[in-house]
Amino acid sequence: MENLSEISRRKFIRNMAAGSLVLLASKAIKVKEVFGKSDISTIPTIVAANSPNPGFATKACIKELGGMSKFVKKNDVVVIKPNIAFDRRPEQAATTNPDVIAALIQECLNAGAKTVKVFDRTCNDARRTYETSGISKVSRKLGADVHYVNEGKFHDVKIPGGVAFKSWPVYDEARECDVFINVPILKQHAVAKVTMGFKNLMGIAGGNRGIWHRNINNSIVDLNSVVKVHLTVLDAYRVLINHGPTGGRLEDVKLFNKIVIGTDRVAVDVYGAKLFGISASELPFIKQASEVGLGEANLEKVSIKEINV
Amino acid sequence: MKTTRRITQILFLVLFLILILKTTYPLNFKHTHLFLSMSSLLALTQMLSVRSYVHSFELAIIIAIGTIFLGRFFCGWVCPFGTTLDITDRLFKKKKNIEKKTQKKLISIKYILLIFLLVLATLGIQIAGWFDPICISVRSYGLVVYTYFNFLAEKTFLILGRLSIVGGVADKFYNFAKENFLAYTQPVFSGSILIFLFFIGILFLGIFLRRFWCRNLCPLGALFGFLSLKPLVLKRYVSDTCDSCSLCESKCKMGAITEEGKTEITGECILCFDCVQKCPKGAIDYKFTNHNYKLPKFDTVDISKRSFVFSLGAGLISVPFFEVNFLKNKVNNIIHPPGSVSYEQFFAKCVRCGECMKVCPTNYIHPALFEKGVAGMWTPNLNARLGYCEYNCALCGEVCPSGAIQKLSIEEKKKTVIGIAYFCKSRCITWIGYDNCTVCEEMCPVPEKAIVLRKEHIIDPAGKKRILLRPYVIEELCIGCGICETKCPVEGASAIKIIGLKYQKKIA
Repeated sequence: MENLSEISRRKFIRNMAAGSLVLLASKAIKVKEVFGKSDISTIPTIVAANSPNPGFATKACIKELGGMSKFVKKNDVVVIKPNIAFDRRPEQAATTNPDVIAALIQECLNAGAKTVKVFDRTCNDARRTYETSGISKVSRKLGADVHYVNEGKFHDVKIPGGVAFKSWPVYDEARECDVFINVPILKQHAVAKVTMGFKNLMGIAGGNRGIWHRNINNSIVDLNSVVKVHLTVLDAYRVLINHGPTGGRLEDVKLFNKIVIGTDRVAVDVYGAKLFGISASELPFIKQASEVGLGEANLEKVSIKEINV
Repeated sequence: MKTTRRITQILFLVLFLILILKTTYPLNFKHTHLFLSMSSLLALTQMLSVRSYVHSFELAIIIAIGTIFLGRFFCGWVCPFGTTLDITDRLFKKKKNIEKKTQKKLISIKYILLIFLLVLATLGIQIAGWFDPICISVRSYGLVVYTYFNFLAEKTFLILGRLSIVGGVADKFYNFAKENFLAYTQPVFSGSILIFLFFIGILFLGIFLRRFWCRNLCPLGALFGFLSLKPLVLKRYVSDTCDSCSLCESKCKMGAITEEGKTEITGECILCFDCVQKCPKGAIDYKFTNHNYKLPKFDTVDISKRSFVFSLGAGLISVPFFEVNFLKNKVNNIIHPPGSVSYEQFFAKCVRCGECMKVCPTNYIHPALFEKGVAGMWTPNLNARLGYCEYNCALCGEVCPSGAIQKLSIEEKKKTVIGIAYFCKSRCITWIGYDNCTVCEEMCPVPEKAIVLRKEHIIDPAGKKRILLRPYVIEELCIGCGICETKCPVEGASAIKIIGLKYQKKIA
C-alpha cells in the first residue's frame, strides 16, 4: 500500500476513473440513480404494467418512461382524450377507467401543465356518458378542464396523403395543444375487430363519422396522420371481450390487469392486439400506419419493458 | 294590493320559466309539471275522458275549491299565460272597453268552448290541452320560445368567440350558460311553427282588447268563472262615495264592471285590484266581511239557450270528425314514449302539454301534426331519425303530468319495447353489397345486442368475391330505442327503421 499522503494528482484521477468504471459496469440502472439523469437509450418505447390497481400502474409506467416532465413542460396545455363514448359504468368496461385518467391528470399537473383538458365527442348523450363513466367527477376534482365538445369548434383539416378522404373536420382543441395524450380502452369491435389508440382518435373527428366504417382502416390512419400523439395510454385493466364496443354485460368483461403506455402509437396498438389475442396481420391499419411512418409495427424492433406493480 | 299582485304574478311566471328550463336532463327537480297539475280544466276533462279519478291532479282540485270561495284568483295572480298577456298587452296601444252588449256576447264564447271540450272529453276525446292556458304556456315556452332563444344565444356566443378581444371571456360565459341555461344540443321540434302561430295569434288579440284571451276564450277561465258565479267569501264592495265616473268600468282589463262601476258580471273578476287602486274616490274595496259598503249587483253571463244547445251539438257531431280519418297508425308509423299506455287510451290521457318533448335529452319526441289524426295533434310522436331513446333514461315518464306515459324505473324501461327495428335492405351499405358498415350493431345498447352480424360470402356488383358482416335484427331483443336509425350513416332516410308498437310490451 502506498502512503495516502503521497497520492499524486495523476494517481488520484486514475483511481477515480477506475472506480467509476467499476460502478458503470455494475449496473446501468445504478448509473442513472447515481448521476440522477436518465439515459435516453435505456428508456423503453413501451412500458406495460401488470397491476390490480390501474391508477398506480399508470404512474409506474410514466415513471419508467422518464417521468411526465419529459413530455409535459411548464405551462403546457395538455389534452387527455379518453374513450367516453357510451353511457356505461367503469365496471362494464366500455369507457376508459377513471383511475387511469386521474393518474394522468395528476402527473400532468405535477409536471407543471397550465391546463389539462379532458373531452370526447361521444356516441350517447355526453351529459350521461361523462357522468356514468366516472371521468367527469375525477377530472373536475383534480382541477382538469373537463368539457363537452362544442360542435362549432370542428374545422376541416387537409389530409395530404389521405386514402379514405382528403380532408375531415377535426376538433380545434385537439390540434392546438402542446401535448396530446390518447387514452383508449381495449375492447372488442365488430368491424375493426378490436379498438385501441388509432380508433380512439375518432372522438376528435366531427361530421358523419359513421361512414368511416365502410373503410375503417384507411379512415383511422388518415386521421392519425394529421394529429400529433405524444403518449398513448392503453387501458387494458378491464377488457370487453364480446358485445363491444357498448357491452353492458359483466360476463363479457375480463380482467387483464394491464396498463400499456408508449410513445409509439403503432407499437402500442400492436401490443394491445397481441394482448387481445389478435396478430397485427389481422389489422390492416397497422401495416398502413407503419408505411406512412406513424410508428413501428414490428414489436421485435421496439424496446418494451414489462413491470409488475 | 296591486303591487303585491304584480310581484306575485312575476314570481309565479319566473317559477314557471325556471321549471321549464329545469325540464331537462338530469331533472334534479321532479315537480316540473307543477303548473299543469294546477289546471282544473285538465283535471276535469281528464277524469271525464278516462272515467275515473286521476291522482296527479290534487292541486287542481284544491284550486277549484279555492275559486268557489275567493273567485278567479288563479287567473289574476298565478296563471303564467295571464301574466304573459299582461306583459305583452302593454306593447299595444291602450284600448278602452267596448260596448257592454258586444262584450257580454264575446265573454260567452269561452263558456261555449268549455262545454264543447267537456262533451268531447266525455266521449273520450281529450283535446282540452289545445286550449288550456297552462298547456299553451308549457308548449309555447318550452318548445318554441326556449328553442328560439337557445339558437340565438348559441349563434351570438359563436360570433363573440371568434372575436379575439372578447373571445376568452365569451368562452367562459358560454361554458357557464351551457351548464345552466342553454340546451346541450339545439332542440328542434317538427311542426313547432304551428304552436308558435297559435301562441303569437293569442298575444296579438291584445290589439283588440286587454286580456282578450282570458276574458273571451280561455276555457279554464270559463271553468273558474262558473265556479265563482258568486264568490262566497271575498267580495267586491262599492261605497256610497262612488260618483259614477265610470273610470273603473273603462279600465277593467277583464271588462267585468258595468253600469258605471255599480255592477259586476258574474265570474269575470280576476281580483287584479286595479279598480281599487284607480278609483279617485277610494270607493271600491275587496273585503272578506261586509262593513259600510254596498255589494254590487251581479249581471249574469248571457249564454243563450241557442248557443248552449249549439255547443253541445257541436261537441256531439264533431266526434266522427275526430274519429273518422284515415291517418292512423296503419298508415303512419307511430312510436310512443316508453311507458305509454295503450294506443287508444293514450288519446284520452295525454294532455298535449309537450313536457316529454322538452325533457327528452336526445330530441326523440316531437309534437305530432296529423299523423295520428286530427285529435292526435300535439301528442308525442317519436322520430328516430332525429333522436333516439337513451338506454338509461326514463325522464319522459317522470315529467308526464297525466299518466299517459307511466313512470318507469330504469330497469323496467330497459325491458320496455316501444317498437322494433327493420332493415331497408335496398339502402343498407352492407346489404347492397359493397362494404362493411356495422354502425347499427356498434350502437345497439342492448347488452346481448339486438342486432347481430353474420359473416357472409358474396359476389359484389363488380363480380368480386367479398366477405361482408351483414346485420340482422333479433326481434325478441330489440326494444325500439332507435339509436340504430339515428346513427345510420346512410344519407337521407335511414337504412334501418323503427316501427312503433300500438301496445308496448315487456321483454321477458
